[in-house]
Order: sequence, then C-alpha cells, then structure tokens
Amino acid sequence: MTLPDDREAIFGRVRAALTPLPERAAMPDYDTEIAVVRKLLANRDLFAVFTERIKLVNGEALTDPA
Amino acid sequence: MRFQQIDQFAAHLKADTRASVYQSTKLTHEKRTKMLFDQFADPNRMRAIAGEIKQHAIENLDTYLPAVEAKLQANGAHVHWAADGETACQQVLAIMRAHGATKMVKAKTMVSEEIELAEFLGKHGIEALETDLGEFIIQIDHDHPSHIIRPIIHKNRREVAESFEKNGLGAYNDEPEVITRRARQFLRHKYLEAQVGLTGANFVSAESGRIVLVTNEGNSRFCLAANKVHIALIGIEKIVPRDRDLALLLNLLARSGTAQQLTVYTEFISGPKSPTQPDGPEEMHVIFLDNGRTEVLATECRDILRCIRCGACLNVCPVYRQASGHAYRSVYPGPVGAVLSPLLMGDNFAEKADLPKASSLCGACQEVCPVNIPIPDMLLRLRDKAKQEHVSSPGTPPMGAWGLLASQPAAWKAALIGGKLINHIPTKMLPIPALRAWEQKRTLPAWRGGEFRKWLKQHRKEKSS
Amino acid sequence: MLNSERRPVTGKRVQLMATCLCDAFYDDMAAATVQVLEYLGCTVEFPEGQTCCGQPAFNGGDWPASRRVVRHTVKTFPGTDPVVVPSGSCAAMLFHGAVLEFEKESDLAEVEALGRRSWELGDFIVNGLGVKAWPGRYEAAVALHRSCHTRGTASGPAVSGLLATIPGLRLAEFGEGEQCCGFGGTFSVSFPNISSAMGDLKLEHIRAARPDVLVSGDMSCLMHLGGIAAKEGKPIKVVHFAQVLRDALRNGGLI
Repeated sequence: MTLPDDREAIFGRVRAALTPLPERAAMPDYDTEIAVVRKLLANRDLFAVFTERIKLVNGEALTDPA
Repeated sequence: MRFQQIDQFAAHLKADTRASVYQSTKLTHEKRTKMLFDQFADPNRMRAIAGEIKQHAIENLDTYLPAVEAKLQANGAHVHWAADGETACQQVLAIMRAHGATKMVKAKTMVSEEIELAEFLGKHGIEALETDLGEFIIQIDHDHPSHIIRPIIHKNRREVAESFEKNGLGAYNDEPEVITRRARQFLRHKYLEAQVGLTGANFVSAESGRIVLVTNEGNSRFCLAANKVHIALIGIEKIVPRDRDLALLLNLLARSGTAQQLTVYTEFISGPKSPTQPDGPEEMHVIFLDNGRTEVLATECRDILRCIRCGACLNVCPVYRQASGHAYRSVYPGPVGAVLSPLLMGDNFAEKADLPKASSLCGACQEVCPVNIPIPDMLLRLRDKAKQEHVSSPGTPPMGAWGLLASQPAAWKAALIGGKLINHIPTKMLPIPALRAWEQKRTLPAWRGGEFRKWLKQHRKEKSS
Repeated sequence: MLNSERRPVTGKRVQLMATCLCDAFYDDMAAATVQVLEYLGCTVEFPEGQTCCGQPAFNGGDWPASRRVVRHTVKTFPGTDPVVVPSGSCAAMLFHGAVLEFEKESDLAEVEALGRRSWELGDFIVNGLGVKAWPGRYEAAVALHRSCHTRGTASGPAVSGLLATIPGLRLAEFGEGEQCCGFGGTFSVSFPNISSAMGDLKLEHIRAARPDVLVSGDMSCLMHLGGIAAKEGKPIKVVHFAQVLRDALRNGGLI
C-alpha cells in the first residue's frame, strides 16, 4: 500500500526549529536509585526483593529471557 | 462589560458537575502528594531530572526521530509520518482498507481525539470503538472528554446509568459494578469482531524502539490480542532517549496522575509478533504525528512538549476545579492545555488566546508537574504573544495609560491624592469597568493615597528631633 | 517561582519599596514595615520617585508597558543596598518576572542586578538579617495565608517560623493551604466569577479554623479575601505580618 507520507517535511521542520538554538539541553547524569521507593533501599538487594514479591503472586523471577 | 468565555462557562456550570470534578481532583491530588513524599526521598529532584531528560529529548529530536524510526523498522514495524490530522486519518484508512478491515477497537489516546479519527473513520463506513470505559461512555453519549486521564470526571454514575439505558445497554442501574460488567460484556464481543487494534503510546524509547502503554483496564492488551494489525498513533514529542529513563518516568507517571504506584498494566511493545511468539499482531504500523508540534518546537514555549499526559496539573488547578474541562473548548484542557491548545492552533492562535488568561498564575501546576514544566512562565509568554498579535481580551484593563502613569513620579503622586475622589463617588458612576467587575463580589478598601508618604515625613521629623 | 542568587546582606542600610497597593490603600502596613526594620537597626531609605514594580501590566500581557515601569523602578532604586519589599508577589516580579520579560532587552543586566538585591520582607528578616525569633506579645489565633508568589521561595517558612515564636500567637491550621485565594492580578477583574469562587472556597477553609485574624505577606490576597468577606456582611480582620510584628513589639513595650 502506498500511504501519503510527510517524513521529509516533518524532519525539515524539526531541523529548522532546533538549528537556531545556541545549545541543546544536555542529558542529565543521574542514578536510577532516585526512583526506587525508599523503604526498599534500606540495604537490600533489589533483585532479591523482587524475587520474594513476585513469588507471592505466583510469579517467577528470571535472569535470562531465553 | 464584555466577558471572558471561560469565566462565563464556570458561572453557569451545574453545581453537580462542579462537585464531581472538585471531589475527584482534590482526592487524587492529595493522595498523589502524600504518596510521593512518603515513598521517595526527594520527589522534587525526581521531577527536575525527569524534566531535564524530556527537555534533552525534545531539543534533540533531529537525532532521536531518525533513530527511533530505524529501531522500529529493524524490529519489523512499519513507520509512517503525518504532518497533520488529515494525513494521519488517511494513513489509518489506507492501512484498514489494505486489510479489508471495517472494524477497529481502540485504546485511549488523546492524539486520536486531536485528529478526530473516530468521526473520520465513521464517515468511511468503519466502526472505531473506544474500549477504555470512560472513553466508551463519552462515545455512546456523543460527548467530549473533560480530563486527559479521567474522561468522564464531569459525570456522576446516575448520568452514566441513564446513557447506558438510552443506548440499549440494559435498564437503568447506577451501581458501578453493574455498569462495568455491562461494558465488559459488550466490549468482549467487539474485541473479537474487530480486525485492527489502535493504540497511542505513553512513551517511545529511541534506544530500543519499544513503545510503552499504561492502562488500568487491560483494554490495550485486548485490542492487540485478537487482531492481526496494530496501529500506534504517536505524537513526535513522546520520544524518550533510553530504556533506563523509563524507570524514572514510569515511577512518576501513575503516582502523579492517578495516585497509583503503577497502573495495573504496563506493556512494552517493540514490534509485531516474532515467529517464536504464539500470538499478537502480525503487522505493526507506527504513525508519528506532527499536527503543530514542530511549530511549538520553534517557540520559546517548546518546554510544554515535555508533557507526559499525567493530568496532575488539571487535578491541582483551582481554575480547572471551578470551570471543569469543557470550559477550555479543547482536547487538552487545564494548565497544560492553556499552553498547548492555543499553540497547536498555529495561525489560528487568536481563537484560543483566552486560555492562557484563565489563570491566577498560582504556580501549583509547575509544583506538581512530573517533568517540571514552567507553565506559569509560558502562560505569561502567551499573554504577551496575544497582545503583540492584537488579540482583544475582554475584561482586561488597558495597561498603556497605567504604564505612563507609573513611570512618571509627579503624575503618580498627583493620582495618589486625586484618587481620594473614589471614596466619595459611587463606583457605578466611574467609567472604569475593572472597578465595577471588582465590586460585583468584593468591597473596595478606602483610598488612602499619599498617607504613607505623609506619615514617613512626620516619622522622620520625630526621629531627628 | 524561583529565587535568584542574591547578594549577601552586609550592612543595615536598605531601600524600601512600599508597593503601589500600600501607596494607595494600606499606609499602616508600609508604616509597620518601616517600624519593624528600624527596630532591627536598619536605616530605611524611601526613594520618593517609586511607583510600582510593573507586575500588573506584566500579568495583563502588556509587556512593553510593564518594561517602561520596570525601567523607571531600576532608575529609582540605584546602588547596591538591599531592596526590601513587604510583598511576595512584588519581590517575585523583581527577581523573576522582570528578568523574564527583559530576556531580549539590551538592559537585561541592570534588571537582573536589581533582582539580585531584592528581598521579600520575611525572607529578609530571617535569612538576610538572621533573626529567628520575635519578641513582644500578640494574643491571637492566626490563620496564615501564604501567597502563591512565595511558592518555591524561602519566604513561606520564614514568615510562619517567625510568627510561631511570638508569645501568645497561635497559628491556626486550615485545609487546602496550597490552593490560590483567587486574586491573580488582572485575573480578579477579567475572570470575576472564578476569582470570587476561589476566594469563597478559601474563606470557607479559613473560617473553619476559627481564627481571630487572617494574616499574609501580600496585601493583594488580603484585599481580595477581606473584600469578599466584607461584601457578604461577614467581615474578617485582615492584617499584614509586618503589622503583627510591629504590634507585638508595641504590646511588649519594645517600641
């Protein structure tokens, strides 16, 4: 099927919008630990906590998708 | 006196509706705040970082868009680009026609509201059925959502029961469990009858090409489980740089929007089903939509594109609570909508230039935004934009004369003394609309212009003597 | 709303910005500010040519008119002494709003410089001068309303912390403290229905706490809430915290 496609038009507009910026916002360097609920952090291995909890709901923790 | 539309809408809003909206938003907001501060050491820092991640993403879309396209294609998905709603609708139609499909089931996506997809498909003989319970109710009622997360926040269960009865879904019954069960029974058949499932995406990872879908009802799963074709309709600003960033964003999203730790279902979809998977769509089409976003990207208000559509700003906004979502006349209401909706109008900005004025600039929205968008600053910018484009603003006192008066001390001091007149003349007789608007609901304090300066002179004399 | 980085306070000479509201309606509030600052040993200068911080036009969308007023204000407050203003919203205009509206102007640096020396009164007393406790006496249950422009600044905790130390004063907590009172500058007259509905809601919460007096660091909020209460025939006593501080000193025989 041939669909109408605006790829070049959109990419052109994105470039036109961003090129004038004197600099681009940088990716922050952060530790994903800030998103871990604080009770869990108290010196526990997160994977061990996860394994415990998923067993409670009849689940199984896997380390290898295969 | 001329009036602001949104203020008038609020004045005439049914007390019932206002009560529904107020109770729901207040509860969710208070739960959200308690949860975030109980569970995390520094939720405000999380919001700041999430904001930086999204700002980085949108300011580097020229890198990330081609990257996510390449990844999705490598995963076996087709990628399409739509400059506007009309094109996106045509693309969806073409995909459906290519499969001889006449029935679609769709998960909740505000982007599809934006482009009015269901109406378009309906005109072409295609049934596009909403499967999110709230959106389903909106659809059978021919209504519009009034909140980006809770589409029927303005309805109470009696109204829902009435519309179910009107639409042949059983005799009047306003028990939530009964309503839900009836919707579930109706929708089960529909999932199996449809040929195409359409979703949006909460996030798209540029690193892996995975799209993320969050629902409480699992309806997105049903939309995809029985169908051969999956169409994902996604705004170009939904890009997230890396998979690991999703950890932070997902921890903020549900807590911010519905005060849940996570929604019941979170799905990561990287492409159509692989040969070794037992089921799933065999074909996946991703349609990336511009529809005015590149124009927003070119303005100083580009930060609004960080929005992850959580609804927290709507829930805390005192103006939203008084007026409700329909007052904004837009798919995106509330604080985010007051910035995004007029900007997405492009050249027709003037039609919605009143939205940024419907705010006391209290800043509560910025304080709850999981990506730390400086919404009040953008509302102010848009007020400046409206003035520059000579959009009229009912009720706003003209400031030119004020600007002159307040930059000339002699005139100012004279006005301080002269103003004492208003203590003696009824306001009704003064040709100042702002004063009359004030006095509808408030008294005016006594004018005491010049008194402080007199006191200060006297005070200084006393001190030195 | 954001604080800028401020010049540290090194001396006791300050310039007072009384605010246009006090110039027009609330002379005692401005007087109380002078008395409080002088009690703390400050020499208070009052540049006579002052008018307004420029916020009404800024919020109203007329940035050129606002800039004209800001430029006048910059000229009127020369030098490097701290500029102290008994209003969270005027202070935020000086260190945030003005900087925003001057971002493309050639005199941005002067506006930024003024912002860096501008202090809301409570913040100045507690964090500028280091005063952590207040003497005297003020017997009252006080409902303290924090204006929205103090969000994200040190002013809120500064004022509540200070008032809590005054002998006899009890802070009366009330619900939905984070919700706006509904004033919002020109919003109050261009969206009068929503503005007054917000005010009604705020008053409902405040009255449930049964305070003797409603206190704030912003006369604009008090003018709005006090005005609604008076119009409905159930007036509420409204007082700026500068007046509370001054009256506490008087009651304690300290001034």
